[in-house]
Amino acid sequence: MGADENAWTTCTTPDNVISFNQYLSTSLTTGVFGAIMVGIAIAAGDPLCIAFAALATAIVWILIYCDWWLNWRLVCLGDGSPVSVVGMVINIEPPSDKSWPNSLDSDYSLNLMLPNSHFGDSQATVWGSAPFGHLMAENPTTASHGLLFTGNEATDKQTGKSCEALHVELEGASIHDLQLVNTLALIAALAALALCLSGIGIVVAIILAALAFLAFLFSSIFSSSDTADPSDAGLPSVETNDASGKGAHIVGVTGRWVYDAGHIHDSYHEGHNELHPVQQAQILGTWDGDWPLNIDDIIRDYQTGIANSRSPLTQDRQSRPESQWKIHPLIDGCRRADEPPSDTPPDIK
Amino acid sequence: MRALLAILRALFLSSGPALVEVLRFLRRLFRRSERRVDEQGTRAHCVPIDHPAFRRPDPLIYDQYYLMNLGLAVTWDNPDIDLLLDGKAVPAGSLQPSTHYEVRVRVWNASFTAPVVQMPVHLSYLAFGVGTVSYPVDTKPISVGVIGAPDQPNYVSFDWLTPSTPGHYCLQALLDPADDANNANNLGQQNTDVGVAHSPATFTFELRNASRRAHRYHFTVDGYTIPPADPCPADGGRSDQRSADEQRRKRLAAHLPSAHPVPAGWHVDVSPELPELAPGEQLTITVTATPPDGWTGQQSLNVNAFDDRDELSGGVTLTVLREH
Repeated sequence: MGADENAWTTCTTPDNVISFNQYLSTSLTTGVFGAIMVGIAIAAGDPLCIAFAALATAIVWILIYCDWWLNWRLVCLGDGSPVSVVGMVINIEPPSDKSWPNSLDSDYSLNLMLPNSHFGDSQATVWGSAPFGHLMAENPTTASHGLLFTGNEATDKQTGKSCEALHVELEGASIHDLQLVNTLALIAALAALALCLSGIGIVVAIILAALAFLAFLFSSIFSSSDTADPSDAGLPSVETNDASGKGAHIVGVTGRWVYDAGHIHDSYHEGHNELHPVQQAQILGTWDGDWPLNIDDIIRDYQTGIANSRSPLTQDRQSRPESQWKIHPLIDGCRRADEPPSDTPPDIK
Repeated sequence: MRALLAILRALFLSSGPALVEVLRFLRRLFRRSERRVDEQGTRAHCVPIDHPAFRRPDPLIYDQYYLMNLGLAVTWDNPDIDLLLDGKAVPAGSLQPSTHYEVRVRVWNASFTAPVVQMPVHLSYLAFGVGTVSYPVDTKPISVGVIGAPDQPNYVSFDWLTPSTPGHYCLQALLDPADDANNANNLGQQNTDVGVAHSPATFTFELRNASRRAHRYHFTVDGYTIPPADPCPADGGRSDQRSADEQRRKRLAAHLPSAHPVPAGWHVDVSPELPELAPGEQLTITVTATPPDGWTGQQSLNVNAFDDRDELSGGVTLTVLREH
């Protein structure tokens, strides 16, 4: 994982968002590198060197695309602190539903209806709702730069009902994996090109180029399998509504609040805010057709619980010996040395 | 410029870590091939996930059935269920009929990352004994922080109006989480009685067959009480995982039944010794505890009932008192 918790991506400022299609942008920037490489190879006059240069250029295309995907696609919103929300799972977008090359995006996504919103509510109503509507509404940070904003509507696949939803993504590692493999492939391809241009070790050059080509070819296949969602039995599952419109999980989600500029210039033509990556998520309840009466308490206690779990004081206590119990503190726990021997946490007997 | 930086970063900064990560990735792939991958699709209601961001709380209470399944001795004087009258603690074995008591339930969370949020806690009472019928008192929500958080453990209080019929009653607290890393440690029971040993002390409790087939029951008796916690190792407040595990194993050894036999000189008789009960049938069990001559003080005896499959049906903790 990256420096950010559960993250391979970083977020950037709106002025760094590219102003035209990402594939075209990647091709143009790659073209500069490719022209230099191929030009040198042509000057050398060896067709094999030209092939190696073309291979290196293709790998560079992949690397630049990965770099855009990981570092320049998401715009930071808010003050950078993680945001904790509670929502009902409208639908799920597992990477297994995607076909290649879209399957390279191995993020696992949920679309959440947020408290005090209901199916059929207008986009404006949801954006104005408390306490989380502002997370989905267009933000001045992106609006001031004229970035496309469409919002994100999600449909319950069983009932066909729709609602404006907060998109949240648990990051898969496939683009990161693709970048790693192609980094090594680029080194091999450039070494092969250098050997070819120097005229020595041509056999080694061919072997290196072959390895680079294979890495380039198969990296996308292997990396797209590094998804966020496949699991074994016994692990938590996320449920959506059945045909009666009940049964979906109400979840708590904590993550980085960003604007996703990844599809504003491609055929999807959409831009919305989301939590990306999800740093913590857990199941809090089950949807029975409406919000629980104690939803405000659920929101408050989830947010407080998460804030406490991340406080330096709590994390310091967690590393102490008295926190290493697994069964029950009175069974396999120990007492702090500064506690009196008879103390078992405030027992009133 | 951004593209050039990306290439340079890849070549000069990322290549070493990349090689390491590729090796790790290949190892992950190898391991993954041994796992069963469930077929999935968005039209499914239920989609399993294993992303590290998904966390599970582990709410728990002192659960006698869970602890006994781990091979540990238990007391039915539950340290996580307390009874108070006018703000003062009272023993569960001496309750007044038609009286309002406060029942305070203490709940823990064994998770480091997922708080327990507004989890229902169901309180019920039963006739004193094993397998007897449960009567609901109330349900209340509780939130519990992660290990090390200020709200760990947390407490939930119930108002309980005792039945008008005098007698001993047991209390059960059942945790009912939306999601739980361990569902086996959610039922705590408070089954205690106190008797003065004039010589000997005699107790009775009800044994009921709550299952759907006939069973023959047998009993074990031990003198277990929860021992005081050991002091944590003085290693500057930190401990590595290996030594922490070793210390935990030592602590668990102090809770084995073999470490807590009925004290020497005591004679405890359970009658009938091997009762047979049809489904729903109930029987009064008599326990006679005879202390050694001249003994004074307080001694707890745990009587645990097992069916013919050696599964724990329940138990009671009997406290024998004798003063000078």
